[in-house]
Amino acid sequence: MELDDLKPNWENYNTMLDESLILNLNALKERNLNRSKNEMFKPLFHEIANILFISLVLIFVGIYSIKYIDEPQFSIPGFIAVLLGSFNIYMAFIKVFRISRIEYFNSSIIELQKKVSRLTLLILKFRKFEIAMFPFAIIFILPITFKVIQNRNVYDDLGFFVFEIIFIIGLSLVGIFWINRNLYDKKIRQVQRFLAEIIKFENQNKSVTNTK
Amino acid sequence: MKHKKFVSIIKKHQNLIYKICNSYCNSQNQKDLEQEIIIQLWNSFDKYDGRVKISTWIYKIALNTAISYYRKSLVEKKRLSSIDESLFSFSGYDFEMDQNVKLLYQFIEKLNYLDKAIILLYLDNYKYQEISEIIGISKTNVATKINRIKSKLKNQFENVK
Repeated sequence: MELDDLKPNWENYNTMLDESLILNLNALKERNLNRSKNEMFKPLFHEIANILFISLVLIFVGIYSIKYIDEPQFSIPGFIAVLLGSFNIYMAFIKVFRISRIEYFNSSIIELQKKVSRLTLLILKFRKFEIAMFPFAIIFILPITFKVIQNRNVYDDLGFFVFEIIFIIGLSLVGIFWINRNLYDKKIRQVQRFLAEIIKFENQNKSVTNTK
Repeated sequence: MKHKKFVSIIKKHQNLIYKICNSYCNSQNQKDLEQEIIIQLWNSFDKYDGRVKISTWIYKIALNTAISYYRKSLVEKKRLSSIDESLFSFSGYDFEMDQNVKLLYQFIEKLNYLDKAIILLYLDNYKYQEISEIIGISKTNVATKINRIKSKLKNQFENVK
């Protein structure tokens, strides 16, 4: 049997659906459509919240690093933390820019799926980088934070400070390894596979066009 | 007002949404996909400018949502749906009664997500040019893909008989 032979069955099926399909209005009401808009912009809100939070921390660390500029043991780690944080904000801005530029409603299916997959890959790779940077940012923030909040010099007890550093880095490395292996690397591979499928679909088409 | 207009458009094109959900999901996930499609349609409702037919616009958004749903299901483990009620119900019609439609759905189920989109549009009498614009490939390529799908289907139906 040919596909075209089945078209009358499909048309008949369409007519039957038109006649017998009932839209459940109560179920539609439960979907709370007005609140759903927020769901759609969740990744954007997440990045904006991220930018605001890191900016506040950076302002705090930056101001006090300038205040203690004569004491480089506090100010230099502070400035390094500001640098790391600024890079984090820069990455968040790139994500916000790319998320907000996706044209969801007028793109073709292939175009949209490719854009979204590439954006997902970028976000996942940035997240991996952010997680790797996090313990270092904490270590660089510690001296100035203890100085400002508790008026404590972390270098007074150098042994304990070194222990803290080793503890933070050690624990973080285990955590980062676990998260990357079980979450991000797996997700990245799957999105890459999906993207490769779409590109293969497109390339098959191109080779057909070129031979015509 | 917007809500009323939206409901009336959904009612008019509900069979289209139903067919996409039926082709892209098993019965367990169908309610989730229905939900996602309705939400995407609602969120983009203001952006519909009338340049294309409303059915084409709904098809494009619904198919994109269904494919995104498939992509997300590769990356994230889907939680069991918390939605109790399906958006659609039937009054006395069971498509499973039509063996050919049932076989056609079984065939569609085996296709990849992009071929599924092409065949649904083809079955609903979309022209090659329209399919090419919705999917994002050339008209010639749409024809090639449809021919490939047709021969796959022919083989499969021969095996069944």
